Amino acid sequence: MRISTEWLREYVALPSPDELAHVFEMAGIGVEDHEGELFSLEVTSNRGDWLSAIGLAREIGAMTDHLMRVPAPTLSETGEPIQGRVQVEIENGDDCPRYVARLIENVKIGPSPEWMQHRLEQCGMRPINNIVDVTNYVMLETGQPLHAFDADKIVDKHITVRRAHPGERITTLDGVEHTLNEEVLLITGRDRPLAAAGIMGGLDSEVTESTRNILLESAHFDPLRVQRGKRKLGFGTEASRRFERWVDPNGTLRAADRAAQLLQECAGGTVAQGAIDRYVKPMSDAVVNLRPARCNAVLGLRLSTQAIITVLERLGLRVQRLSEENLQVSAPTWRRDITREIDLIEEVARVHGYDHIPTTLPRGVNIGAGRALSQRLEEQARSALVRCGLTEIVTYTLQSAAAVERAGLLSNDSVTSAIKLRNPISEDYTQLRTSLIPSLLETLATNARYRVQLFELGKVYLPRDDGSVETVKEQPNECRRIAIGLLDAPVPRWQKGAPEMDFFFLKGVVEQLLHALGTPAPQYQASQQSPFHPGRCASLSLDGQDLGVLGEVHPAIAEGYGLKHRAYLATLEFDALVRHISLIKAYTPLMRFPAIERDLALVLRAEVPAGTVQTVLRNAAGSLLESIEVFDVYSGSPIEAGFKSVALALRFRATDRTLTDAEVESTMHQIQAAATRELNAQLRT
Amino acid sequence: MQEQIQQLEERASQRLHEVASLADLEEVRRALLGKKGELTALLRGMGGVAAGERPRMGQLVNDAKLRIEAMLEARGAELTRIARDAALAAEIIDVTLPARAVPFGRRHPLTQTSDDIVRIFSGLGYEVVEGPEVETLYYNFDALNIGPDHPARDEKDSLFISDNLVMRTETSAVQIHVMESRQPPVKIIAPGRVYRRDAVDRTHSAIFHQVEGLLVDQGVTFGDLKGTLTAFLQQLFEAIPGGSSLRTRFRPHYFPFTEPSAEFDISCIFCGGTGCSTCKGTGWIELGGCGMVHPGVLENVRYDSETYTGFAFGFGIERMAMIKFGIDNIRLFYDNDIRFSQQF
Repeated sequence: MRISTEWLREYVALPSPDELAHVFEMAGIGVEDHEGELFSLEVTSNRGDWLSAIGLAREIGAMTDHLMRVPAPTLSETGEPIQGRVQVEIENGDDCPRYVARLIENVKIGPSPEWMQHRLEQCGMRPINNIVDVTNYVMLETGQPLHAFDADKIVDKHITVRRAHPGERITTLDGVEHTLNEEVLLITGRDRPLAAAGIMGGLDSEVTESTRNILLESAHFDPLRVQRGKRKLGFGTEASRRFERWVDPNGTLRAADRAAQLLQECAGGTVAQGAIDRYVKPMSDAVVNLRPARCNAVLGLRLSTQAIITVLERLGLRVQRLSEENLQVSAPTWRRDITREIDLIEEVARVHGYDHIPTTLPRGVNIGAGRALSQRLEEQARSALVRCGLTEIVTYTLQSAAAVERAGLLSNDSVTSAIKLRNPISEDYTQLRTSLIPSLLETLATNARYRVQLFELGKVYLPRDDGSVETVKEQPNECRRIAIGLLDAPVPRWQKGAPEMDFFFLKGVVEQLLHALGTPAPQYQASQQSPFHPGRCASLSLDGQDLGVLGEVHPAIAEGYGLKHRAYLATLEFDALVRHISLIKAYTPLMRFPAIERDLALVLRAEVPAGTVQTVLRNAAGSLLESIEVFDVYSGSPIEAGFKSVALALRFRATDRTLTDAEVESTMHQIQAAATRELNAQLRT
Repeated sequence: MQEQIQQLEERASQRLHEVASLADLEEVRRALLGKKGELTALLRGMGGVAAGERPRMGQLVNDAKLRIEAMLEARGAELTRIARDAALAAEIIDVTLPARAVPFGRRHPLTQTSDDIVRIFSGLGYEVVEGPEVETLYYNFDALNIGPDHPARDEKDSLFISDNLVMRTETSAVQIHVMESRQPPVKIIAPGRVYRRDAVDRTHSAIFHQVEGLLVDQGVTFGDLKGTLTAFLQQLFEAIPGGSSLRTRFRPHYFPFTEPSAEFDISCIFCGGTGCSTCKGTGWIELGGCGMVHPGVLENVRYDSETYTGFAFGFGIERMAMIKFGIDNIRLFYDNDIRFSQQF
């Protein structure tokens, strides 16, 4: 809403423009900018009455405690009576509670007076001719949208307000033809639609150069109806903006009178005596009770009852003192936003001034304050990864199917059934992510020139429905995951000792993370899945529950992202991990008795994983085995092709005594026997 | 004999002087003191010396041997030092070459800011709660007094999944979940992602993060809301000069779920309130919305709106981080360029 102070000053005394800007702000009317006299204002959707000069002046008067004066329209009705010459029928009083019509005859079309054109232009409206300008001017002045029909283009000057029939058509003033449905309310003549009610007039009944007689409409339409009609037509107007936000139903007649007066003055018309006023659903003031004590309790104020009454009366509300503890307040029909006590409390706060409410702190303690356990574990995970030298990233949770395909995840069921947005903003963000990998690969691509180590802790959204996405009814399962991405890059010659970035470095990061979270050691198993290298990928599980995957990115996929060096990815199911976390950190006594160490080298088939060897040996060893570690794997001469040698260091210890060599020897025999029996392994000598 | 000893000593001194390596030195030692060495030969020649002279001559030869050994040792030490110096000289590095990049992980500026916010509100006694990002229309709109025809429910403003589900447009829905599950007092903050159907530009993102706060108890006032947000903002920006003494401003506004409602501003921390490009000359920076929880919202969750009052507030984490770190483009947060990430 744009308005000049020159216009407002007609109704109320004004402070300086800068002070006025502050008054607007503290009333809740946003000042987008103001250059001297001209203000550009942002009006909230609950206050249609602020979309008019008089409404704004009323608010300024209330905020600054000045009286507002609005002169009553002065009108001489010198024409024949309107009664019997114009008919108005309203099919449904809910859609159109009131319809006022006036008839102005023998107008002379021409430009409107300069002062009027000037004000219209200041408010951002283009002057057209004296008739249209008067209707626009009165709308800006009073907030009531008006429409002027060429009366001679309406058969028998008979108007019906009704819903459109499905398929019915209207060509609006802008020359566009619209096909309608029953959502749209129409002003119709006997033969055709004349206007889309509250939105725009029809081209057929438009005022033109040759127009002589004007039928002036000043009506109150249901806000919801205008909103639905607007949605169907696909555009809104200054008129619909006001109707949607509520126009005072008890101001229609006065606005019609004011417009008739101006038409008389600016277009030389003769105003027919009287007006058609079909007020089929009369509306009266809202009556709301207010307890001053409650008002003070909510705001943290100590206003007297009289002070509260004064504030409310400044706003044009009428207050009746039922008792010292209870006020009865009538809110005029231009303030439909006031429906209950809290609305009046807000009015007191606004007019008294938010600045004048003391700044205090609430009382009380909250035992549950702070982060919940799973949130603290998120912090622990982030912190562990940062300590491993990884940098955190935050990426979009929306992605496209193309991005998923690019990451080689299209064959994955849970990925393809991703939940789609019904009305995406762009084709890049059409569905909810079901994997962190695509955006992580894209981030690696962004940083492809560097050696980077990244992680993200974020959500994926897994559908619970069967994937018939059009009718998704159930909220998806929102799971937290951790994704880790490493990208190698050559280092300068003098930095050759930098730690090598490879699968085992990635595995090391994963293990540090699990260690920091206190999860037990997981099981790794070679796995083949996209987008990983078929021979360098492992799935991770704990007690049979899948926890994630880690591996080297398949070269074909990496190439698709322009990654010139090897890249490594891991994703972990954080929510599943959390269920395995033990927060108990129990002290283990330091060992008092010495350990005995033995090395063992086995020759076995090359495809037997080292993890299996360890498991078999550990199971065979019993409780004396403290630790077992692989320290070398070798294939090549003199080992036979298809075989390898695995060297292990075993440490034995008893907690209650010094072990004897004999005890260890016997255990070693059991271990060797198991290796031969279960792994077909031979002792390397 | 005596003369021979003297000559030997002189030759030894001369040869040691000429020796240039430890290997050569060893050769010289052997030539002088070895089994077939010159001094050994001299001792063998003692047989030709008169018996009375032998003890004196023996003494002389021994003394000479000690002196030669001392000379060998000294020369050896000297050569060792020279050799080590040469080795060290070969190991000179250019200390001005760039350092090896030690991997140093960092937290994303958004999660850092979110942590700061959570830490401050934890200190004020708030509990941190979360809710789903895919929300039902009831929780995202109806329960928050946003009726079926409110513009926020338009397809052009919010991202819909179906007739029943929407990407949450604010974290306020979490309030409803919490209030439904317990009776007052409720004192929570809810950080999380929210979604709007906005075109992305320097200051807008379709996906961003918000923190929503809610306090419902007996006797909570609008003054308490002002005090809480002022204390929070002064702590959040305390590291910025003048941050701990910044001023707040509350302007009336309209939100369906609060009444009275306000937008809150801080005095511009870049110009101190005198007006600059960041605050567009106004001296104030707009940060978020707040208000007293609408009694209708309390009644929707079956709280006694007579006994209890409450306040709620919400603001964007990106906006706070942009002010805190002086970042002028919201897209930087999501580009994840390592040159950006490593600055925080």
